[in-house]
Amino acid sequence: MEAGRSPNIEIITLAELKELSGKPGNFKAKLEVRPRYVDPTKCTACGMCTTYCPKEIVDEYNEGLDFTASIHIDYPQAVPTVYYIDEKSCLRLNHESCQLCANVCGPNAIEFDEKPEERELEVGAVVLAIGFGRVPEEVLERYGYGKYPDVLTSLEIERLTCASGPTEGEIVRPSDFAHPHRIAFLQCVGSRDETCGNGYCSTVCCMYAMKEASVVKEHAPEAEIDLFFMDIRTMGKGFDEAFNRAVEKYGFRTIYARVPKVEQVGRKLALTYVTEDGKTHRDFYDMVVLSVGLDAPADAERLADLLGIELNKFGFAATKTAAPLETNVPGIFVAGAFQGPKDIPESVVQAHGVAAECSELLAEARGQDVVHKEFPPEDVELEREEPRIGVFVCHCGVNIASVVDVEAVRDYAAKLPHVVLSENVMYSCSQDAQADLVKKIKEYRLNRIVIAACSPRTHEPLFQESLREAGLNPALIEMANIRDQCAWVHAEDPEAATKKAMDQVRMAVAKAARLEPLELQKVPVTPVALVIGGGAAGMSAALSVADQGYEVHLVEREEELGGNLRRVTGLLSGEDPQKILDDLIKRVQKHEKIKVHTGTTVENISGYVGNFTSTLRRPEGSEVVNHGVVIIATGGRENRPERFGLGENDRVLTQLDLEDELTRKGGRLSRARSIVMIQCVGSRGDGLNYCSKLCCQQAVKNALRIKKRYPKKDVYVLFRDMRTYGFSEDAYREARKAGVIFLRYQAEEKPELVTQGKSLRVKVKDALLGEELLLPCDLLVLSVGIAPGENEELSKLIKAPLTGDGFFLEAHVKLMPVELPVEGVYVCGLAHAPKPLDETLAQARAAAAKAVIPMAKGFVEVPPIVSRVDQAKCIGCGICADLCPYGAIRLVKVGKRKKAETITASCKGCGICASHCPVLAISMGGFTDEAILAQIEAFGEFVEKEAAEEPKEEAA
Amino acid sequence: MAEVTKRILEAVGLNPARFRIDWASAAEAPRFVQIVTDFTEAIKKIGPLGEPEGLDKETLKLRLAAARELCTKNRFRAAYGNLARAIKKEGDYSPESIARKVEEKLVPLIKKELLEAEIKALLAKGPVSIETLLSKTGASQEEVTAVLEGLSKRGQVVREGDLWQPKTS
Amino acid sequence: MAFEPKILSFFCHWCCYAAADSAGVARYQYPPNNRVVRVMCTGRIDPRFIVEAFYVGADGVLVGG
Repeated sequence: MEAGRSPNIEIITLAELKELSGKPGNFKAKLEVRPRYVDPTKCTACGMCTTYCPKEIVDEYNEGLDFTASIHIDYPQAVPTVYYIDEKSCLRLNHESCQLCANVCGPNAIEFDEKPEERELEVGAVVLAIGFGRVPEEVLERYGYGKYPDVLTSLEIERLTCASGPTEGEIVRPSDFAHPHRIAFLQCVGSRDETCGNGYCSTVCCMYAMKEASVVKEHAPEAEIDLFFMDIRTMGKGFDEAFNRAVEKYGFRTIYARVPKVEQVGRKLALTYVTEDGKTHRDFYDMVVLSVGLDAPADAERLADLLGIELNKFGFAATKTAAPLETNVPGIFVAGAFQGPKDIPESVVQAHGVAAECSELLAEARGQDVVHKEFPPEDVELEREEPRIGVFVCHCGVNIASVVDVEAVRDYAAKLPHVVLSENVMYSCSQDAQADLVKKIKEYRLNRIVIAACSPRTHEPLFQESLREAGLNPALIEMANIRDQCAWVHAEDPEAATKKAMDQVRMAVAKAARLEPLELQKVPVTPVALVIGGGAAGMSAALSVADQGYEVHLVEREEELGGNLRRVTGLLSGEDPQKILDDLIKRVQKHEKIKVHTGTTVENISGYVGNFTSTLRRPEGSEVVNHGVVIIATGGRENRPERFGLGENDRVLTQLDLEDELTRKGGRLSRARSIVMIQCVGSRGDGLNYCSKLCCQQAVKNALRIKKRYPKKDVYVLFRDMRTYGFSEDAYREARKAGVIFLRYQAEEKPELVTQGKSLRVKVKDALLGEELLLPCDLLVLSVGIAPGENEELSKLIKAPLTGDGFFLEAHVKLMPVELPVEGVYVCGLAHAPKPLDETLAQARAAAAKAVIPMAKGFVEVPPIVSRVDQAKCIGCGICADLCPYGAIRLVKVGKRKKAETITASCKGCGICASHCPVLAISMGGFTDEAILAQIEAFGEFVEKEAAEEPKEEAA
Repeated sequence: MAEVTKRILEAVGLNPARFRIDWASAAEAPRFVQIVTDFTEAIKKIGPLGEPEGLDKETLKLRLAAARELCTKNRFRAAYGNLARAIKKEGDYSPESIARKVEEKLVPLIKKELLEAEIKALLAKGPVSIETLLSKTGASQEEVTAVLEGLSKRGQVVREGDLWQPKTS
Repeated sequence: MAFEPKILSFFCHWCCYAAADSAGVARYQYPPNNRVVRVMCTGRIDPRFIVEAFYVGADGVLVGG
């Protein structure tokens, strides 16, 4: 929606890239745009065409579980919200035989003659975000998919559990429409499976299976659900916790087994599988769900040939750890699942990050072709006059008019107080109706407008723009929703619908009379960023902001830059982490827009988005800086729990210690014959509650490095779940091939360190043998996880909350993954959550992209729905400030007393302050007490009217 | 908010089930329809406002007017706001805990203020006996006496024989 | 005549109001007894709005977040 509405984003659907020439900053792209056969400027998405279209086709959006018409829209919220004709099935296009849709289309939007079109675009950068592909059917067929109707894919379950899906959220078996009682989820279908060419882990399936299973349980509480895993890979922020909670709440059974095949026995599906103790089981289910992986996108190879970009061996875009968003071709970037399987939060992070990449590349041209709309000045005099309300009652073709008596509503509205004009409109959102609205406002000197039509959610911005064109403040409109919430939902009772429409119009008029012009608040922004933390995350963020053209203060507590990355000596990709770090440090130090403050801490951050003031303290004195935004990149620290004699016994190391050991000649490592690694020490409920995401990769990496250098040494890795997600699954497989021995241990039976004379042994229960093993151990390496840094103090300074685990809590996990709830403050790297280097670097750019937005705009614009405190009434009790979820109200001294004040730039307009103010001193823009009470009072007339009618009917 | 509103309705003598708060996300149209349909059905079952509760139109208006006044009173609003603040601070949003806190901190205040407003409204129409007040408000003798004493202490009402009336200056 | 209750609803712009729109798009049908006041968030709801609604004669009040 947001993308659809931006005047600076053109969405070109049904298009394919055919050619790209030129160089970074100056590309020419040739597109082929296939016809939609519906004119998007005319279509009002009323859906009449679909209702009349006689050609039924399989609904691909609903995974083929439903039917739709040849002319259709995939789902109601689709952008653009315009219907389209399926070329393959349309009777008119194929047989010239039908044109029902064109006949019933009110606004004449159908264009059967539309032809494919070629378009040429001049662009500065290219982003490939082509997503992922589907696991081939033949892989699914191995599990009986296609043969047994009750074997479904997770995508199909997604549609089935959707409340607006084909079954309206009812979970039924396709074979007999019965509710399944026992359901099995099979993980790793088309993932971690070299036999189908997909050796990688699809990363997202463990989590989505849990989500789908939970939703199924919500819909069908009696269902029993078993999930079959190879490993449970829920390594994202808060994922383990969510997973465990779901398992406990819904009683899922989690089974470690790879189910090789599915058979139909009678009406049930039989699964035969071997668990890790070597026992064979056979169980029966009513439904089997295949958790399908993320394949490489279908179009990848064609694009790779066209653009000269490299793909990895699985067909995804090849990128480096140091530059996770860049292809090998300068100016062509990649984001999302095409770069490797990933979930929504990671994809959104990459999308933000890639925006920063483009913004860096095109910094010089910033603002060149930006579209700004100009409006005439407001007619303040007219606005101040007594309300002169114009009511426009929309037919919306037949959408409203076929149910609601729109003429009656118009005549009714004409008699309401303050109404000087009441008219009907065929399509109030059409361009000519908009022009007419502007004309009528001027002609009748209207100063308040009521549009009785569709939803303000979708259409208010459009009408507001027309108001502005007519010289009226955009706040002076109120919409009565007589389509989506009236005509469409009371189609069977036109009389009641008409009454309701009249009531909603009366309520809207009552509110309109009390609307006040609201100033669009603009707050200027200081074009400087404060980046806290000089590790990989902080330095990358600082560089990106600086390369985008803004000044940066980069603050590092220690005397040198580099953070945790200083201790990492190798990467799975083969890149040298120290070189990556050196490059970062050199570029940061050379950059004329970055001022580095090492040995410095941040004290006292005050202000709000656009206008922060902070004190930077050094032992020799402090400095005050002004800045518009803050990026928190304070990192984390290695967890060093007192387990297995860590810190006392010099044969016990952490993985980071081992990284150092691996760069030395001789030393403990070279003397050791048998090396044991233990995963999750002090993590996942043992000290730290969460998974640190990168330890499994790190252990596999270090095990491989040992094996490469000393092939004869024994390396054991004791783990709970190997979480080598994405392409690092390759390294896990390679390690096993190289002879590294992986043994799973149970959380309740942790390995123990045993001393036998001078030698050490690790005791661990082996699941397959059912016995305890004593592994010789000359060197014990612990994967200890990442603990949060000292975030608490900073969290108080900046008034941003932490998660229960002590990391910064993002504003929204999926939509705003690098923004904190406090506006103008962003987070990246380990301060957000433990993660590997490539993800940190992508996230740093994401934070930089977000941080640059207010600076590039130069001001922060606040929708006028914000709260305002009448300080004459305010008693300074501070309830509002404490209740505000956004820290948008502060207490200030006015004379001798404390008064509340809204920080307009941070306010979201929720109104919790107003509803809890003891002295009613707070008013909400557009939703004042007076306006809402006027609506309620107007509602009361409906009651009175009915009451007056009733006795009459009785008398009759 | 929901709990407090329900308790106000109770104090007025209305079925608190006439007020409902529920949630549906933007994607949950069927759930929304369910909510609206269920609620409409529920209200149909309960019946017209005041009728099943045995409140005549006049009493109902009187009591709701008192409740309206209550909702704008500083004392009530401060207590309400402070309670919300305390709940947020503690972070315990369980319904039981909220209900307990509302019961402790707000319900006595709601009852007292409502009764006071009602009695004032009744007195404004002319001298009234305690018996009339008791039957109109449905409160206990103790409660009514306490309110009358409070009002008379503040010099707002006087007693003449068996009848009470507002003090005219 | 059967009792047709008069219901006032307060819907959150982001949630229930949006769900109500989607219900329309999907052409679901529901009883026509409610009238809607849109608010930006249920946090806006003051107990006095509810009391006011009953004062003016609502038989029921629904808040949808």
